[in-house]
Amino acid sequence: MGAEEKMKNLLVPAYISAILTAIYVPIVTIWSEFDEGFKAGLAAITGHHWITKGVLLIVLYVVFFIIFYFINGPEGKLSKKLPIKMLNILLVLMVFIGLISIWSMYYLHYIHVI
Amino acid sequence: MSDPFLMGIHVFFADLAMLGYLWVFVDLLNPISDEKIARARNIALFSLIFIILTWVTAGYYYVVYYPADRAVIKASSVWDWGHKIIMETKEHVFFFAPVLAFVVYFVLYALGAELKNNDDARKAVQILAVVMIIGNLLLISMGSLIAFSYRGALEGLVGYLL
Repeated sequence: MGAEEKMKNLLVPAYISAILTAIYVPIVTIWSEFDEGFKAGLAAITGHHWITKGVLLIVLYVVFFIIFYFINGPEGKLSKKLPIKMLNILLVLMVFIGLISIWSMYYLHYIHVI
Repeated sequence: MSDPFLMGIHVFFADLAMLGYLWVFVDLLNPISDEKIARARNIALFSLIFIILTWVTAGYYYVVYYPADRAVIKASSVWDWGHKIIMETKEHVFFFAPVLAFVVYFVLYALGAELKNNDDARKAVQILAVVMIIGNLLLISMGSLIAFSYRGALEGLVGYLL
């Protein structure tokens, strides 16, 4: 397998890791907002909950990347099944859903609905 | 206490990154060439670096200086939405930016000249570049709203004290 094929096989882990971290962002945001203990735990790790969330984002991205790199394998098992177009749509969709979820949660919390 | 330099520089870095994504989008329009792809890749790297610099400078401001501003905003029952809705949303939505910036650069890096023959990948990068531009405009607008609420809250506080 050439260097070009190897590089192409890295695209799927890069996209899947991005999609999973895009799912992680609203989950950790909403969870920390409603669970003071969890928020305090995050803050205890680095001194500030926001810094910990950022560090976790990087760590998760790298971990997911490595996991899906090995799942994809040298023959690119996932690359054949998951076209870049579909992965891109999923990524944009997850970012959009994340944005709406975070904003809605803070808005509804502000007006005391949740 | 505030730091106008740090406040300004994080927006400046974000604006440079956004201009980079505009450049990437335009460079990937047809007709496409090896030269344009190479330039788009370099610009995407430049934008990724500026997104990271935005993260570091904004994060430093948020952790060190913003608590004092937050106290002023939250003291006002009229302007507290500036922190409770806008800032809380902004600080978390920003996390999407470095992830998307990395993917934009990585697709350009991994596919390189092959983007000429791969319309799906080329359009994928363009879509992500547009998302980055819109997202940046959204975050800048949110920053303005936070500053607006801070000034409103401060005026109310000064009025009350006088």
